[in-house]
Amino acid sequence: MNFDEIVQSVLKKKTEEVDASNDRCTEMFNYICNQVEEKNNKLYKRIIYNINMWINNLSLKEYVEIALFIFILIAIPFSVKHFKRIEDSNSAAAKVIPVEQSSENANSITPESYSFEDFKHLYTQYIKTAYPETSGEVTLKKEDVSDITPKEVRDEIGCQIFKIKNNFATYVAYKSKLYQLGTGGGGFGVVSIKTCDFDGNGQKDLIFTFSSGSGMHRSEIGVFNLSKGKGEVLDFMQRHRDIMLGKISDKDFKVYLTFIPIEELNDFNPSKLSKQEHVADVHCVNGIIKVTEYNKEKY
Amino acid sequence: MEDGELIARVKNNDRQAFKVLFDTYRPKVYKTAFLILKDYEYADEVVQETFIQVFLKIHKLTNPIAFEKWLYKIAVNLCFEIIRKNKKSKIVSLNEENSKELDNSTTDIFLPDNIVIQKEIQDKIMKCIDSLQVKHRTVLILFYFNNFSVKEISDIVNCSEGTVKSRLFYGKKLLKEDLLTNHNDIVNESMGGMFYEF
Repeated sequence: MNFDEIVQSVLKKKTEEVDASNDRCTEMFNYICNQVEEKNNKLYKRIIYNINMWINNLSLKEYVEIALFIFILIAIPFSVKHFKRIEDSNSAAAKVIPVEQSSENANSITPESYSFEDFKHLYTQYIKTAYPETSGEVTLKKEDVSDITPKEVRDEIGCQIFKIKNNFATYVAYKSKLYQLGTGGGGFGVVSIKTCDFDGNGQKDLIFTFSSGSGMHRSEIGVFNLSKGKGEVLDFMQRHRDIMLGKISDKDFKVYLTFIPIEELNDFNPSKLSKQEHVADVHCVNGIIKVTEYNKEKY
Repeated sequence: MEDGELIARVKNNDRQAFKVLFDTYRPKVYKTAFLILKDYEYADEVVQETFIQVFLKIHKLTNPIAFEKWLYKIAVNLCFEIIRKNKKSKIVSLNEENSKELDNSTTDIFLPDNIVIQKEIQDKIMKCIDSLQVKHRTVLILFYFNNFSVKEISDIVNCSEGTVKSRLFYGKKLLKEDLLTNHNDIVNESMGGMFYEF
């Protein structure tokens, strides 16, 4: 045994007894997360404060010059079309793009079968309609698209849900129409999907969770009414984490935190997600959908 | 999941990935801070502040392979800061209660070649390490306890490789001298004069 080994052993032994406080780990971790949030908020507030101070010290002439400068920088390049596009993408949980008119009964639950070619055709039509200023040319390959339709959705509604792998945009193909589920860019798109019937008309609809945001990761809950072809985003937002749904009945759902391994982002199976903390409930009373949040301070 | 993937997720504000990183590195950082500062509470403080800074600044980390080195750089700097704030390490001492607790729980340790070093000599060696100047102690700890190379230590403590080598040499020399001068009897009894090997 040499000196190095002796010193190593002594140091190791010295620290063996030290780390017995594992029970404080979670507490410490939560403290760290709170501190991080606080510091982020402080930084944000400091920036706002400094901007305010700077604005307050400006003369009228400087105000006018800056306003003019901002106008030139921002206002002019914004075309009316661009505004319209942003408005469209932010205003609804789902876009309704009729591709072909269908005369089928809305209550039919005969499973529909869309091949990749069918989806590509519908998607091309969708892009042409949604973004007429583009060429509408779609270069999708079969391996770029996943069919993530849960069995429950297939059996009870008969629609098919597709997800594009590179941007996680999610679409539902139903009665030869294509609708986009979820809003915004970034995030992982639709994460969890269940059937629901909040309006009680017997026609099952979709309730789903989706995430967005390339900077701050946000998860939200959307409801898509298939008979109306319209969607809405519920008043709930989970920052930093992904969420999934647990079904109690057609009108009652539980919302849980979940975790998607990064290697499964392109091919994850919504039905295999595992539930973690229970963070909210979704109930429908007298046709009004309500979200009750839990542990809001914690998460 | 590898550190690179975890770091990518933490950059995306994924708390769960951050928890995995925290659980993996917390004990090591805590032990290192404890060895440098000789105080449990300060070591806790260093762990907390280190991981706060990690979460806040991880977007600046361009090379995920360098994560561990970067993490220790933050931790060691925080240790130095605490020592500076506390009159250059004078107040930093293992408190009596903790010391006793450690002593009671200390038993003989088993070394690679199954030679048992007696508790007495362990204490003497540790006391010698503790009595070293912070800069020497830190380099010794990073080298012997964390198994960092001289190059890595030079990055962590922000000095040249030559300085690290010199501090390492000097720290070892002081340690040997102190042991042989003040505790020669114990060394000889316990180790059969093995220290003379170097």
